[in-house]
Order: sequence, then structure tokens, then C-alpha cells
Amino acid sequence: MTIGIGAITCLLPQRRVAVFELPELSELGSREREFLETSGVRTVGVFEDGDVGSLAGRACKTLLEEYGGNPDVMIMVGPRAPDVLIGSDVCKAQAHGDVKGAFAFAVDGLGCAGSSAAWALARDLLIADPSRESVLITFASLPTGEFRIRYPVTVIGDGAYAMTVVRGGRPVLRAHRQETDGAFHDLFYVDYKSGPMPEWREECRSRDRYSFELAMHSRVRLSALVDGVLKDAGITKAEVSATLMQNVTESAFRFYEQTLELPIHRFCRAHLADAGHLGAMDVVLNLQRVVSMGGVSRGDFVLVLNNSPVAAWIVTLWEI
Amino acid sequence: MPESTSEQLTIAMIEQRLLDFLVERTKIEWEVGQDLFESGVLSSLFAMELVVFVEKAFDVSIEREDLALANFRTVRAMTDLVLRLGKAADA
Repeated sequence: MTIGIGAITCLLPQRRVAVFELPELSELGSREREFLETSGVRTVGVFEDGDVGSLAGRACKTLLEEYGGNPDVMIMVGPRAPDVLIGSDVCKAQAHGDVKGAFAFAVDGLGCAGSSAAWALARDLLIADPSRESVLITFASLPTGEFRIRYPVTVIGDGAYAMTVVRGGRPVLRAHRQETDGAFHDLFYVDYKSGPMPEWREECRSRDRYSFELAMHSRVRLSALVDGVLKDAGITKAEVSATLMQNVTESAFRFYEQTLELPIHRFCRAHLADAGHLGAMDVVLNLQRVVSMGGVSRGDFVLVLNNSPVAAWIVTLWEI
Repeated sequence: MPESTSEQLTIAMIEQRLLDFLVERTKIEWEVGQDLFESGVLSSLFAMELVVFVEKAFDVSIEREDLALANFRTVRAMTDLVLRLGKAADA
């Protein structure tokens, strides 16, 4: 029995805001403005209301109403900033989503690589217990504080998704490998304890470490992970129909295209331009759109690259 | 063609090849002790090109532990790295 995707629901806001109309623009220096011009992001989606728990819950509710099902397990990919401390975002999403009967918990600490780790965990949970039929995964993307521009990384947009991983689902999860490196754990941070939310600012401890050391590690690690995943599946790069990754910047797409000698699917650039970076939602949105209207058909292979400055690197091969 | 380390690359030869590459790619003249990354004009993409160039031009393999900015910050630092990796490969 294979394990794959049951259904995916992605929620994106109706409202789009041009990046050059974002309120923090007046506080940007010349380098930040230059970054914005070349980032590849034109607009970001902005929800009128909602927090991570309620938005993720809304995505779950929409999915379950449309596709049905009664998930045994619910995994929330941890948000950039929790709605509350001590309380539980995932249980809030469970309540808002009316996900009765599922055991809910969070996968956290992996940044935008969280969804890939979650779907691999979902597969493992289904393999581990034959009585389980379905694992629900959810996530909501909102900015950490009030700023959406994360120089030198990306620009944050709003969104939420829910997906199920089930027995016999398609695309089939064919192969998966993942790595983390704790050495980069503090490269980016928000010192939230020393001031109120409007004062929260994401800091990069070393732009050099980000642009050079992390980039070079990503080159080496993702190359090895891609080779390993393809070897596990017994296929070559030439047999990959589409390669997807998270939507961070135009330069990141070019970097990985050159590094891995795999073209990144045009939908990734389109989503980046339109919606901005949706964190752990990017790969799910890209996969859903490519599967439904990206020119792939049953039996084709789709490679999903996912990494984060935390730092984590994950590669999954899906068979349509 | 990559130059084998057994051909006894001199410091001057390595430095010159690196400087030639940098001039060709950036259209800027560089000094061997000049910080390549201080200006902020060098991107991740260029950093990758630099690493690939060093590996191919000098027939060395740069492993994870050597992927530190300090090894690529200047032409002099890259030269030291090439010599060190070349000696390790010859050992």
C-alpha cells in the first residue's frame, strides 16, 4: 500500500498589497530597497483578520467540508509567532476547524521546511499504525510582527493551508530525505521579550553567514539529498517532470537552478510575485497548483526541495 | 584545464588565477588582501560560482568544514585554502 496526498486546500487572501506600498517602506535603507526591487515579489496577500490558529482552523474546516474524512492525527506546522504563550495554537486550529477525534500536535522549529517534515512524519505515522487512515496537516502564514519585509531573505505574505496524507493517496510519496544543522540556529531571531509587538524586528546576526556559509551548505546538502532521493526511487534527474521549492526570492530560484541543474517550475516564480513568501505553505501551494494545472500527468515525478535558514534541508519525490 | 596540485602551483600562480577570475566576473580590480564580501556586491550566486571555480580550477574538493566565509574572504585566504587542500590530497 502506498501513501500519498488525500486532498489539499489553500486559502489565499483576496486583498493584494504592492510591496512598494507596505507601511515599513519609509524605514528602509538603500540596500533594503534595492533588495525589494530585485526580490521577485510584486504583491503580497493580506488577510483582513484572523490569527494563525483561526486561519489554520478555517483551512481545515474548508478541506473537511469539501472532501470529507475524519483524520486520526492532526499536525500543525508551527507558526513564526504563536498567537499566545502557554496556550495551544494547534488545539485552537482543531477547535476552529471542527476536527473532532484527531490527536493534535505541532511540528516546530524548522521554519519554512516544516511542511516537508510534517508530510514525512504523517507517512511514518500511517506506516507505524495500520489502524490510522488519515493525517491532517495545517499551517498559517502571517508576519512575525508588523514588518513583512525580511531583508535579506524575502517578503512575507498571508495564507493558510490544510492537507491530508492518506493510504492510497496521490501523488504518492516515493522518497524523502532530510537534514538539520544546529550550527545556524540563531542566524535569524526576533527579540520579542524586550518590547511590544510593534517594535519587534527580525535580526540577521550575520549577512555574510547567510549569503555565503548557509548558501554553500545548502548547495552541498541539497545536492546530496537530491542525489539520494533519486537513487532511493531508482530514477535520474532527466526523469523528473517538475522541480518545486519554497518561494523566497528570484535570486534563490536562480541559485538552486544553477546548483542542482534542475529548472524550478514557473509556478513558483508566479506565486512568489503574486503572494510573496508564505513560509511552510509555499511548497504545498506549489505542489497543489502544479498537480492540478502544471502540465504533469499520472506517473510523472515531482521533486520538492525545501530548506530554511534555521537550518534544515528536505527533499521529497512525489509520483503523480 | 584544472591544474593538478602535483604541478606545484605557486602562491603567485594561484593568486593570479583567482584575480583573473574576479576581474572577469565583477569587472572590478581586486587586491589579494581585499575583503571581497565587505562591499556587499557579491551575492550567494557569485559565492557559489567562486567555490565552483576554486574546485575546478585547482582540482580540489571543498568539504563542509571548509565552507566558511573566512576561507573565501580574500584572494589570499583562498590561496591558503587551495594550498592546504592540495597538500591534503597529495598526502
